[in-house]
Amino acid sequence: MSFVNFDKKEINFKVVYYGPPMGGKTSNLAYLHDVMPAEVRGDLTMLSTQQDRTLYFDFLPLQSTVIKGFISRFQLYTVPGQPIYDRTRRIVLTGADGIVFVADSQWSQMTSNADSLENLKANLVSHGRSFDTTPLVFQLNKRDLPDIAPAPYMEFLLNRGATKADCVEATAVKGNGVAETLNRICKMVLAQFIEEHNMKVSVVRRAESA
Amino acid sequence: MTGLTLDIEQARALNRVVTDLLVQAEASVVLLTDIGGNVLAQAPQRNDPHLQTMAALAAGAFSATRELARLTGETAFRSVSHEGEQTSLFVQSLNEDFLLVIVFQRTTTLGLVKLYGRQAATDLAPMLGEVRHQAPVSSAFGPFTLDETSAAVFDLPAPGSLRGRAVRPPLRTG
Ligand SMILES: Nc1nc2c(ncn2[C@@H]2O[C@H](COP(=O)(O)OP(=O)(O)OP(=O)(O)O)[C@@H](O)[C@H]2O)c(=O)[nH]1
Ligand SMILES: [Mg+2]
Repeated sequence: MSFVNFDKKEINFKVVYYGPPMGGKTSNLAYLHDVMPAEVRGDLTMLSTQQDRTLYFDFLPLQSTVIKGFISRFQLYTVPGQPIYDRTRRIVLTGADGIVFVADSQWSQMTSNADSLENLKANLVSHGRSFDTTPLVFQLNKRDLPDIAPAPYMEFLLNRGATKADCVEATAVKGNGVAETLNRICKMVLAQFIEEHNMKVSVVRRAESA
Repeated sequence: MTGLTLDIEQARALNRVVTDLLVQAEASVVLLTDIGGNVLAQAPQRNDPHLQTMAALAAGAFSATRELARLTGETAFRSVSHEGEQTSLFVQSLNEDFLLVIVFQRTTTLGLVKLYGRQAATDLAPMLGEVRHQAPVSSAFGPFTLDETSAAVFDLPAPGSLRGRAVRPPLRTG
């Protein structure tokens, strides 16, 4: 849920990386942390098991001056993909302004992708949110592996919402597609925020001038 | 989905309460956050990126205890404290949706922190109620506009190309 502080001239947005277990959510944040200049990113915090599986969430704050006169902070979170951590996923999803769904392109993971997407929809509904109006980008990850499904097949399988989401092919461990995914979701989040806010401003202005 | 908005007055009023609490309880850091980990007010006023992470973690930890409360049949744990050798942390929930996070050293006591924390909570309750229920949108805050000079929100080098070297900052900050 966006948060605007007019005193400090700051706006916070929350972007959640969701998806099947081992799909590469943490790898996305790790890569971004590696390549982002220090003045743009904060620390990467990972709450994981000894086997590097996400236990609660990962957190990486980034900042940008994309909105004139303000510092825009994009707070990136990942959820744990393992089915048993559903309660945790639901908590981390709270107040998300945008979602990146990191799908695993391997043929063997297609059911796992579909299950995770269903789980995302259910958890959005549990927060009173609608899947179709929440900014979303699909990342088709692990394109470097041999036994992978063609991108159009995965799009057909996953991207069936009323409004079609962007799909980005990626190899998160090498960084391919990671920045593009981030930029696309940030732009969608910004577009929705600006539209909502500016609409309210124009209503207030009309009321004031009447 | 509409988010939270603090206008200048509200932000400063919240900061005053939080600063008073810091002084009275002799704490080292006080954060007022929402349950998502956004920092609404802080004391002392310094630009420390760790505070954002602290807020995200405290909010996460508090949400986890809320789940524990649910599982144990308790309606809500109102506060949690973590006591360390030198530094301790006290987190108190306010109005369901907000948290007071207080970091303090051995030079003060949990009792004092709780006492002033409770008082601050009483002062903050109506202010936060207002923030939650009537997000101010004043025409003084004009429409937001994007900085069109940048093609991307974050401008990163192609993978593998510039890794490990200093890269041009994506966007002018500060
Ligand atoms: N070959 C290949 N391996 C990848 C890619 N992305 C991630 N991996 C590997 O997949 C495994 C899981 O990656 P993570 O980033 O931890 O996945 P996750 O989605 O965070 O997993 P959970 O936290 O358990 O849900 C690791 O061994 C990664 O190195 C990729 O693009 N290609
Ligand atoms: Mg992970």
